[in-house]
Amino acid sequence: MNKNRVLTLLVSSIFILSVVGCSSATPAASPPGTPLKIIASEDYPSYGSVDALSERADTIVKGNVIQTRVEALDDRGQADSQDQNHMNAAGSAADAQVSFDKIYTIYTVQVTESYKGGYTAGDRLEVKQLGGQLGNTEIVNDDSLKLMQTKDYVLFLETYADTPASLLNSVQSLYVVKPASKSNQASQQSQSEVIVSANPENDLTLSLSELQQIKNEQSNP
Amino acid sequence: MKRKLLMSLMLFSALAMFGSTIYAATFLNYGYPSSTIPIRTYNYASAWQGPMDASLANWNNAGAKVQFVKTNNSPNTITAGNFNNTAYGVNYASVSGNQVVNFRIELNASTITADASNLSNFIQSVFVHELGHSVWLGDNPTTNSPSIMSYTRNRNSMTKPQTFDINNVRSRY
Repeated sequence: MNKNRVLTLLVSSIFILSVVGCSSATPAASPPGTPLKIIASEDYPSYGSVDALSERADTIVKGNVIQTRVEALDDRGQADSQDQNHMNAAGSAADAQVSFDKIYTIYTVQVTESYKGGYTAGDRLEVKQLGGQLGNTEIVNDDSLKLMQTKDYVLFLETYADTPASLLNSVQSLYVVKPASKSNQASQQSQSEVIVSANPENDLTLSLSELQQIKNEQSNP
Repeated sequence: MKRKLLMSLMLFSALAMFGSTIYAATFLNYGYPSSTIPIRTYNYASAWQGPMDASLANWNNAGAKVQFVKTNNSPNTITAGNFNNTAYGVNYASVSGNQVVNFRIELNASTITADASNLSNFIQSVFVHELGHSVWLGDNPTTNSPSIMSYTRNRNSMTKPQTFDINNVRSRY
């Protein structure tokens, strides 16, 4: 095969693949039993600093994941009467639409250190993230970061009375604790551990000293 | 000569398509297939109903070539309520291929009322953002231009789709 033929073949392949990949033709009807795919896109608050993040979190802990499960949850909260009056003056239509179980991945986290909130080392708490598959229904949430059982995390959370806690957002609220020797952050090499964001899009940096400061503020308000 | 012309044409086409794919970082891989988008009629107290209706108008009057229309039996729903999660709003889109089959938008009154200094504007900002997901727009686009899809926008003041958003939607319809 000469050089021109190879080049022609290469360019043709790119062309065909790009046409197929970008096709917007109407999709064929899904065969029975095909999983229902629901894609969730969330609008989250963004925080300008670690201080703002920690102020908003009611619970900040370090811990590791000991169990993961997927569950359908109705995450409707109990509204106070003032909220109800403000929102649902004509409630019937709204109430009929509200019922919707969502598929969450729920992580059981064993707390190893607490910086804010009512948990202490040794406690377990549950943290939910939107997304997962149950039967034929799958909720896909590209924003969610999967927590792994092999890692230690620092989590900035909002907790609820009757459902698992939530991260404050998917970008700025989850950090991985690493041994200093495995980190590239030279400035913190003197410490035994360093903290790096679990999400590379996070522009906030969190240090052990900041966590200690948060803990101190909780003990000496 | 013919071969060179053919190759150049195909290379140009391929690059143009890949180029649009890179630009499509701003876009989701799916959107509502028609420019007229029905939404099931909703009914809330005026503090919410007004801003929610205004959100539809904000898109309809933006010149983005899309129209959100309230109808009685649409599978596309909007629900405002108190939810035990930290999002201001969520768009749940049932997708087949690159088309939205139906969607459900939730506005979280717990987080919205906690952070709003201007409730009406905040509701509009979140609802207009979530509607944007139904017309191909992705979250938090990498741009210096103002965008209703940005996580860092001021939700107490930005209530309408911005020029960047409008142009992106127009490019899809």
